[in-house]
Amino acid sequence: MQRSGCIHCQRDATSFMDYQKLVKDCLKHRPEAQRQLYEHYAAIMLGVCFRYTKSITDAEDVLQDGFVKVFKHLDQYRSQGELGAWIRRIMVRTALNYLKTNRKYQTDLVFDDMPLHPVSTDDPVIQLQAKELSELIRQLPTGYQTIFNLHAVEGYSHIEIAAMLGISDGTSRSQYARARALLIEWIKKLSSQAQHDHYGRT
Amino acid sequence: MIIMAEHNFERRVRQEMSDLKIDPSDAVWENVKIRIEKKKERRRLLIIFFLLGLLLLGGGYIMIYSPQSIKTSEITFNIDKEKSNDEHQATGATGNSQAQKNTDKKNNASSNTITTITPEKKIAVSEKPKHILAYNSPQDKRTNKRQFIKDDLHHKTRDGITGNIISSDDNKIKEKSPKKINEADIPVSVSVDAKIIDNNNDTTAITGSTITNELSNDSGKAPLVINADVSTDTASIAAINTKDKVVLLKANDTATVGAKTFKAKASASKNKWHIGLNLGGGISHIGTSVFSFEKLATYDYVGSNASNATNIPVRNFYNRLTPAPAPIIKSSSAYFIGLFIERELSSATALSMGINYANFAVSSLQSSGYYSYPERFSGSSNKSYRNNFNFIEIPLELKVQLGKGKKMPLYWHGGASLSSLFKSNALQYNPYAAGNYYKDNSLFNNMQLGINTGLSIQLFKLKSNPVTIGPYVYYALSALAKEGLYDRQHFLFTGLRTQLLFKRK
Repeated sequence: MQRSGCIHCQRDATSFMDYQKLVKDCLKHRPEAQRQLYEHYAAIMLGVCFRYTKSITDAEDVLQDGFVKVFKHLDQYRSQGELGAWIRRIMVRTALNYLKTNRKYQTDLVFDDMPLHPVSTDDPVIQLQAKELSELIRQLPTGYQTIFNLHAVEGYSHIEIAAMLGISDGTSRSQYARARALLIEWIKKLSSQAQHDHYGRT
Repeated sequence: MIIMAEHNFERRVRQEMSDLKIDPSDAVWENVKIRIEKKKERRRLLIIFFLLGLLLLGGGYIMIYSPQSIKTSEITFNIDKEKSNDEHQATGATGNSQAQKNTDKKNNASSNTITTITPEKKIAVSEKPKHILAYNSPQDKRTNKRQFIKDDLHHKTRDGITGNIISSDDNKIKEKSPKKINEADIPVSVSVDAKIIDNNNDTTAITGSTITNELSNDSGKAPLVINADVSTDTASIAAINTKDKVVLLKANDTATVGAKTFKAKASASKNKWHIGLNLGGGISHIGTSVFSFEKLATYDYVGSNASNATNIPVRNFYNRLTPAPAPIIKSSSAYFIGLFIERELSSATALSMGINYANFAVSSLQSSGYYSYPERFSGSSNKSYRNNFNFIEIPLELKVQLGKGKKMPLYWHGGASLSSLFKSNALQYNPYAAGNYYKDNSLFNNMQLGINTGLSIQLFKLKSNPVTIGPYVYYALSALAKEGLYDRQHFLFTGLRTQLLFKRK
């Protein structure tokens, strides 16, 4: 996962030993260590869960289930990668399971085989804040939303997405292309509206 | 695996999304903590039950294989090689049955968890709220929507409201005003059930209700809005602490928000201990092993005339008696009835222990014209005799749900049981005494160790008395007797079992 800047990297490097100690303490079921681990990652993981669901309530449910799994399977974390990335993978899997099992999402989570849609070459400048962008992503139909999150944000390949969702990689590519096109259209619309409001006032 | 995005668009999206952080509500951590501790407790209970089971099996093993201290009768065969007369002596006496073993256990435990709330103490009584419940982020004048508060990685501790959340259902709820509560009416502390939220879509009500409310708008915080499931008229509420006060509504209190009225219902805590009734009926067989239920050698009955019969012991050239073949032993009907206590380990597994009375039986086909000792049978046709074996058994069983059926779940169950033979009218057979039948219960192993398994379907699962029915198989690992007619024979029971559960609310 590409990090946004050095600050995160530096922070991770200096606290590498802390993470190891934290994991060890969590494995010993120390409540304060478990709380610390949770507080360290909860906010960012809720952001991850929020992108896959349609409401903050559902996102918190996924976060809750995800952290229970994290503590349950923490012994399987082998310090081979970042702890955050490991937890993030668990959250994504938990979110996908939640979508598959929750009746509310099942009707929308349909991945019909459709003809390949060409990926748009549009590359608009994103002038939205994270919150607004996440809102737009969440406006997508659940299937598009899921595939867009998995490919564009998490960085999974279409083959991996196909395996995770039980679809063909062609369907994944096609749905992603449609989601991307839709999102770009909305971004452009919002950007032009914002510009209009700005210039209109002045 | 991470693949570099070809376009800047994907890179920017990823960058923006990595900055997205949302503070979850307090309830999330509290529920995570409860669920982690619940798993620990469940593991501990499993270990305790496993050790108890081992103890039971170990005790049974010791009892079964300890030397028999009482043997009140003996059979002696006195065959005189030199004597010309058909003289034969046998002694037998009825054995004494050992005292029966009877144990009874009762466990009653309630699993209510009550958390007393004081204004200083933080609580999390959470439901699976269907809608957003509270927000305190500053209002964005431009969009008239709540903003996310971006925070750095070391975000603040949870002393105040930390739920910075936004709902897609905002439009439905944002302008409604909650019930105003006077400070004087606020109770200092109220008992509230702390509910464990299972990973399912059910919502349950909460005893009492925990609602925070702003008594004034001076602090600048937004008022609390309650959403509820109108169809059930049940308030689904999550508890959130204000900075220095927890405002509670008492149970059964109502609040009006807009046009809707909500009522806080008392909730029933889920009881994990249940009592049940066991009933089973089927066929009991006997054999040397599970797969070889061979009948004992057949007996050739010719008639009542002893001289014509081929089934009497004959003397060979050396005037030695050859033993006559044993009678035919046939399967017979069997049944058991008892009580059990069941403890839910999870939504799909349960452990139970109980006490049963079991009656297993086999029929022996006996010839006419032969006398049994001390019983006497007569008649012109072959007679069938039902040999009853009465046991008191203590079963220990694990029940696991197969699949995720909700209405008629399918279970697999398996376990072990320790049985004590306290009464039997079974007849032994003396092959050297021209068909003598006699009773000698001392030949039996009074303690039996057995295993059982089966499948069952649960009917009326959602009612207070669900019924489970399905095929049931029991096999006695211990031999029924060490000598005599039932030497090295094991019981096998196949049939149907019904269980009626009395769920305690």
